[in-house]
Amino acid sequence: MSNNTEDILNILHVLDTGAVLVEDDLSISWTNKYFDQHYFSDQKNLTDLCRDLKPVEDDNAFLHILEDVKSKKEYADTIIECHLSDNEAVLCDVWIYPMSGERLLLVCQLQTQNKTAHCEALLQMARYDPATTLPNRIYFLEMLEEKLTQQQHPEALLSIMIIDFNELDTYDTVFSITSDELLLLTLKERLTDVSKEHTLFARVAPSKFAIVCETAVTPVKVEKLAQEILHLFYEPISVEGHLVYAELSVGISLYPTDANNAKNLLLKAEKTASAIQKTELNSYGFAHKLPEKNVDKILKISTDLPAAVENEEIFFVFQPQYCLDEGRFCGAELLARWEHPELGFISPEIFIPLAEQTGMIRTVTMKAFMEASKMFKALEGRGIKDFSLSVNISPNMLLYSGFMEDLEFFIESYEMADKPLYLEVTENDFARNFSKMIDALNAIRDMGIKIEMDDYGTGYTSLQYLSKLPIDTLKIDRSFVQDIDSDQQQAVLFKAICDMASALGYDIVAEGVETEAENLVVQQYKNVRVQGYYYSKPLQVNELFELLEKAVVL
Amino acid sequence: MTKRILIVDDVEFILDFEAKAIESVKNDAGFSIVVDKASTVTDAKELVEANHYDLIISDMNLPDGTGTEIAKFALDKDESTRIAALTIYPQRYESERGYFDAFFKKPILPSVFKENIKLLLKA
Repeated sequence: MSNNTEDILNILHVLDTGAVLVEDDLSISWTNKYFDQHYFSDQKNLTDLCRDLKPVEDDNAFLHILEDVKSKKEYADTIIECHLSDNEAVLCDVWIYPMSGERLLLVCQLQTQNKTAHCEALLQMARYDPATTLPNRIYFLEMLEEKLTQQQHPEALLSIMIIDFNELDTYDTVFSITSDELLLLTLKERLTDVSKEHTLFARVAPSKFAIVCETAVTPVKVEKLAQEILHLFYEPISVEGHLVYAELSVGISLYPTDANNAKNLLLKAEKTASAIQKTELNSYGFAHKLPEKNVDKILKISTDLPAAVENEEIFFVFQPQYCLDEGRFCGAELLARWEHPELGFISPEIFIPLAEQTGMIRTVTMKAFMEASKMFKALEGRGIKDFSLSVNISPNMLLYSGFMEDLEFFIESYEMADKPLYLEVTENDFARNFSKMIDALNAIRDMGIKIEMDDYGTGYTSLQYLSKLPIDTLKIDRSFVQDIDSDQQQAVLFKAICDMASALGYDIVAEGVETEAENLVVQQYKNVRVQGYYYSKPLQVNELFELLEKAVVL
Repeated sequence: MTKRILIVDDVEFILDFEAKAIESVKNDAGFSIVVDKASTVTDAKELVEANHYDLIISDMNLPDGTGTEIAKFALDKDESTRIAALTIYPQRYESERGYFDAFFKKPILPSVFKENIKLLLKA
């Protein structure tokens, strides 16, 4: 059955009128619920059906009309006499539509019914998205406008939330049409769970869903709902054996703060969602917090990025790591920072995704290697040995064809072959292009560089995969360390990850140790390296040396 | 055979990076390469005066002038010298393009930079 036919049948299935799909050989392949309940239930083909569906004027006329529709591929309608399931004979309007593959769709309307089923069917088609059967953009705007005119208190808040899936269209090229449909339906299903309490839920563009909340709306509640939505997609979607990691952003506009008509409210929410998508995926934002200036700011940041590396506006700080078993600071992670001459401090959460989009991430990473090399030399000069440095790597870097050559150049020319250098790759990165990532990481390890899996525990690495990954260290995400002293469940999970990592022969780093109480728990694991504000905040080079020279024992 | 290259940039880490990249080209180039470094237009002119260069790679924006001044000076002395400009904004120097054999866009990546050096030394 073609994709399109299936969409139409989905809509017709719930209509209050009979509908029948007739195959090329006149067999009936599908009937809708209304037809099953009100018409006949035992017809196997149209010839049988025609015994009961008698054309008013001529016995053969009905079949002729059907043949005509098939051959000319043109719609036709007629009136027939029809016997209902209780054998009562009534007149019935029939609309006959040619479908793909020589099939016909018959929509039957008993003349005793008041409303025009035909019009109703067309209206349904015009108002609903065929793939998801959700209201489409036109109908959504119509309903929203109606709601706004019904708002009795002008100060009553109403919010429009756009859930924008990044590059959803591209799945078409990866999946078959059926899988693409299933993916959409799964997205709809997940969103239905959170949207059922809210009045409007629609598919307003191929990759965008909209939810309207109108009762007891406060920004805090809306924010909570946005977080809930993001949370729904933390786990991948399984579609016919493929695991799809949905990347999304949620844009929120509020009535009457952001606009006083449906069209502008929708546009503002959409604009917010796409602005967020440019800076940070899997995040949400409010339209009123995204003034026009922000767009200019993002543009300026992108334009200034190339010069920022050269002017050393982008620089690196060092987040120290403490080895519990050795009782000393034994390594540091390099973190990029940007002090813009006009805009001031720009968060890495903003400029790193932009650097990734513009390809500048390659240069930022190269600079990190240079800094690491300089630091190794400086450490050597001060007689500090066995101090590792970790550089974060974007997954795009690993897949860029010149990266291995560039890395090789740095290792050789900057004399880092025998240095304890780690590349950090986040857990979620492994999920994309799994086999290519594995090849790249193996090649990097062959160069003598170690691999750290960053943010472990926040992604979806199955245990089976974990044992096969070419990594040296698991870096346990800060969310497992937070409140480890008071939350028994956290403590159990942390222990389980440590035990598993040790059994698999991986080194362990625990991120985000911030309080003495958390440290007391983590300290029990002697083989763990720790980092976090309890030990030290990220430091400038000279501050790091001061820390190391104090030879602090904690 | 020995090729002599002058690199000009006021940012120390870039100068160091370029020198290292040229050094690694030398390994598979089949000829030896001598690299001189300068950080200003004045220093560069002095070196050009004193030596013959097969290739000059200069940043466009230097503390005491532009890469174009170095290019003009070098071409006056020896037209056979190949000259490449390094800049973040190549479009800004469109009118001066005639003085250069190539414009390299900054920031530079080792693999791309090495490939460009090989091409210029061959040509």
